[in-house]
Amino acid sequence: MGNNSTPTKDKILLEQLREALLREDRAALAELRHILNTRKELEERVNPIIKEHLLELEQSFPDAYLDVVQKIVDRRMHQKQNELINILYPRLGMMVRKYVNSEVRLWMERLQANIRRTSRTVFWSKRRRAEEIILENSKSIVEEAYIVSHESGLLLGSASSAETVDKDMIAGMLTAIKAFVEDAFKRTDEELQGIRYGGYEIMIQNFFNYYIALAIAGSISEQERDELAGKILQFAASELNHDLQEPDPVFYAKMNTQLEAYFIKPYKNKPQ
Amino acid sequence: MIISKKVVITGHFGVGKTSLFNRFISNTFNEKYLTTIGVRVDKKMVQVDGQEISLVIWDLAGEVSQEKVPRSYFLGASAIIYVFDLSRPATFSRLEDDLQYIQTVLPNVLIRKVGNKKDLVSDETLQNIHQLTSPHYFTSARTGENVEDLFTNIARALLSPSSGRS
Repeated sequence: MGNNSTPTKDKILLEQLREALLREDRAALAELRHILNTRKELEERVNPIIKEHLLELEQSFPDAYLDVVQKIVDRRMHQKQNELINILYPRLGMMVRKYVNSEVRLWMERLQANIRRTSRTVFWSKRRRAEEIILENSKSIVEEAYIVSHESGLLLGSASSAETVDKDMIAGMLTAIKAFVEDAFKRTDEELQGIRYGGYEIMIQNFFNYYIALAIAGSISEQERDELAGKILQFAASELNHDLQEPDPVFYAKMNTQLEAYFIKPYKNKPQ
Repeated sequence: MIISKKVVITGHFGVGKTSLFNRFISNTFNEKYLTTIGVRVDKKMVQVDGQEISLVIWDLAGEVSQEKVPRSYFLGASAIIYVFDLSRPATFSRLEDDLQYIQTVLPNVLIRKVGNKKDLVSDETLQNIHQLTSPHYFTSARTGENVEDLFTNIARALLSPSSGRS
């Protein structure tokens, strides 16, 4: 019996000893658990450390990572060169146009103010009415719209209000004429911006690796021309802001629809 | 939408470029463009192995390189048909120089050397010229011999770019 009671007693004593020794540790462990499981407690302790590291990273980032970031940016820009240019080209155009417009407007205002001072009021009121009548009677309509690759002359998109000669051929011939004129008169870096024949006009707006051409029937006022130029830039900025080297059928279909919406439909519905 | 590719026909004056063009395409545009701006553009749909491709063909007037033809006419081309007259050796005497010029403008372009006016020369002459120029095709725009084959071959090569570059 004595042999049997000794191990049990030892066991109890050992348990009591362990309890006495680990009491403090257990309390500490419980507190630690509480901190880890309570978000607020944990944040209070960890946030200052994270903040400190972030501040350190912020201060040392330019020195430590500048080269790496620079390399990544350079590589990315090189890969997406065409895309970037296609994005920037129309936006630069819009900025230049805005600047030129405001300068011209200021100049016109000054000029008109000077003329008004030296002219009779009756003459000007008659002239204004005459201008209004001319504008009212001028019927201009965008009949066709094309997006054409500069180099190959291949069509990237088109829309028209009526059946025409094959659009691929028109795009090709237009590019050939453009190339011919630019090559024959290569005095500057200028590009062909339009062709006029009788009551028709082809308005051309050049971009980096494509151009947009609008075939307009009827007389077009300077104001309308200016509005169309703005619309073309807007179209290019929102619809053609990616690489156009290898366009797919989805792209063609989208361009045709968008050209129709931007340039053909508004003129179809225009009151004459 | 069908794939479109630009194909340029070039070669010396009077070798039959326009005749080849006319033989292949029932042309829409007037030939006077050739004498005014030196190029005429037309299109033909070609069907190869169930796939359709639109060949937009630029027929260039006169010479190959030199100052007469704007360099920009060649740009963006996927294939070049270099035509020479089998009955006039002068039209292929500068073949290598002309091809070198084309390759400087378009380094990876598909080139097809075509000896035209096959109906005007003997078989013996053909053999001699073959040794000299290694053309891809001998054609006759007058009889139509090999004309369709030439364009079909180009269409096939353009649809599967890995084949037939040389």
